[in-house]
Amino acid sequence: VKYIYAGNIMSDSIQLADGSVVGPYMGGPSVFALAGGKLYADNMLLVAGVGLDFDETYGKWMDENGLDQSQVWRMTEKTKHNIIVYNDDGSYGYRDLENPLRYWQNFGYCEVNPDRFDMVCEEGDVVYYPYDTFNMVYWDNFFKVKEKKKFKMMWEIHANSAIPSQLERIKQVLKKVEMFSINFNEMKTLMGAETEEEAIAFIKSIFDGFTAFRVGSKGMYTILGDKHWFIPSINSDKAVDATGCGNCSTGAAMYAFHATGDPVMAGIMGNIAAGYNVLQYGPYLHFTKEERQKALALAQKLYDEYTAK
Amino acid sequence: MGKKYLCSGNIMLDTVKHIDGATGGTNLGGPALFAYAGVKLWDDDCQLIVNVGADFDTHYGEWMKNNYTAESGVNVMTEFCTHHLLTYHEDGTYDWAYANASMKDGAINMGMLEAKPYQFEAECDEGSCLYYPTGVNNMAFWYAFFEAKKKKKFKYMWEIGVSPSEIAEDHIDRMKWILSQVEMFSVNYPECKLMFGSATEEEAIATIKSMFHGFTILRVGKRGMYVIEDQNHWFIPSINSEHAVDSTGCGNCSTGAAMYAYNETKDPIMAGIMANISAGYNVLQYGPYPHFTQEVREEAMALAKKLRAEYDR
Repeated sequence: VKYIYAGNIMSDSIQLADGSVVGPYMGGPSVFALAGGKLYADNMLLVAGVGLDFDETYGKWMDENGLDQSQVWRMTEKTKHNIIVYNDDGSYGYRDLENPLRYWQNFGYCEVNPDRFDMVCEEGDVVYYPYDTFNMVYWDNFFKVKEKKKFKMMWEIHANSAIPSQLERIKQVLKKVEMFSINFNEMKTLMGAETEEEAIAFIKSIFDGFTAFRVGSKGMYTILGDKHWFIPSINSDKAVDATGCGNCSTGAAMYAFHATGDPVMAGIMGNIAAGYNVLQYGPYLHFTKEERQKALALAQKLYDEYTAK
Repeated sequence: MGKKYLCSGNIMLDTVKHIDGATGGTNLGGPALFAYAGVKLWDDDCQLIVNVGADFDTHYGEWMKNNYTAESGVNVMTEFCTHHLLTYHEDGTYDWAYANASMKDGAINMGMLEAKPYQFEAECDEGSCLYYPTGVNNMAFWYAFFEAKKKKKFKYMWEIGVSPSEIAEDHIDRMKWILSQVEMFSVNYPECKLMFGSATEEEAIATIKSMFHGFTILRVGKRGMYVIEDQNHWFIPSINSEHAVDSTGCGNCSTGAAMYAYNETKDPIMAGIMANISAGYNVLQYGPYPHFTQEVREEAMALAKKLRAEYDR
């Protein structure tokens, strides 16, 4: 089994509240999600289209952590770069792009097409891929490959798809995936949830698989069938930058739920991974054996405490 | 088994909104389609390698039914084809927008639909001839492309795309490097002015000869083209320009035809003549010529033979 983390990669600079900009840092959902899995195991594969300059920002991190670059395709000259601007309520946007037309064309050009999954995936693999619902042809092609190659999937919905007009499409996609990740802000825009309970009830009504329902710095709920569990976050008092925490916890929860089949353990391991992610800008830098043992020991301790209640 | 001549590139629809607000019909287009039409006039051993939207059949279905016999080459990858809405103003300028999407979504869609080098590797074999128009601004594309080309040993006609706002400082060096690995090249005179600073067609021809020893067509608009082979060149006048309705895609069409004709005949003059004849059919209507029948092909071939014989006199 290998855990495949696929999707667009973009380096992030971050505009702070005082207007100053820090970065660029490694970024992109697939990189953060990969870091989430890598904390716990080594059979992790990054699948992405990037720029020729990828090594300048990511090469050392990939090498030092023993990450395979065989499916990191150089497709453009420059890896995409965003300046993220955070709002007071935790939502975020992007500073205006220099050449938006070229940026978005490259974004589309670097998407991981379904035929790429056909080339990379084998039976039993598990795939993380964050995507929207505006291109259902993509999903049709993707599910043909998924059926053929018999892999499992964690779908992290794109925020822009979490709107009422996309609900039917979301349901269509959920019928064919095993795992799902969404946050509270997205549930608010999707179905007007005012409380987390409302959101949880709604998720249960549309999906029977495993869901990581992220509630920001508080942590996450994990949901399976008609049951749910609240799992509090780790390290939120030491937070430096929360960028990518949702991707990271999703990537880790995917690994953990697949490996253990336990939604509580998946939530705990998801939160611990995010707890590492929050310690610095970009993903956690060096996944050592010692750090892995520490993370696994913490997960077991928290799990024992949780289940003893 | 793929066809021998493969035409790739974007597939695009255009709808024009005139000054009076009236909207003309939607025209079929895209370099790949025009180049394919250029080859199809002469031979059935040709196909597309294109990624399209789910509305492809709605717009192109009838034309494809009449003119496409290959079993593969059209991959449906998104919900809609790239569709430009051109709005003309009184001063002759125009604005463009995507007809069916915001700028962001249209651009993402277009990026997803761009052909990728691994698709050429999958479709081409030794003996294949590929047409694909693109610029020099993405060297990552070229590195992957030439790896595929080396592996599959296909021939390539490069039609350069030049965007005035994106001319790299080392544009010429990049061109030379690319040209050292291709068999055929297509460029037009305005592009030569922009890239080389050519003041005359003769200067443009001399520059091309200094950079490339393969087969080139230098297109000079409605007058026709020069064909260049190593240190020799010939002027080939256009066909049908007096019947011109719309010249959109003529450069792509003539380039596709020239690729075919040069590869088949090894005669640069005949290649130029056949290319101009293809463009002569393309110019008769908006979009590509509607139906390539056996009669049309025979008529075109007879004309090519006649013009070739006259050229030597």
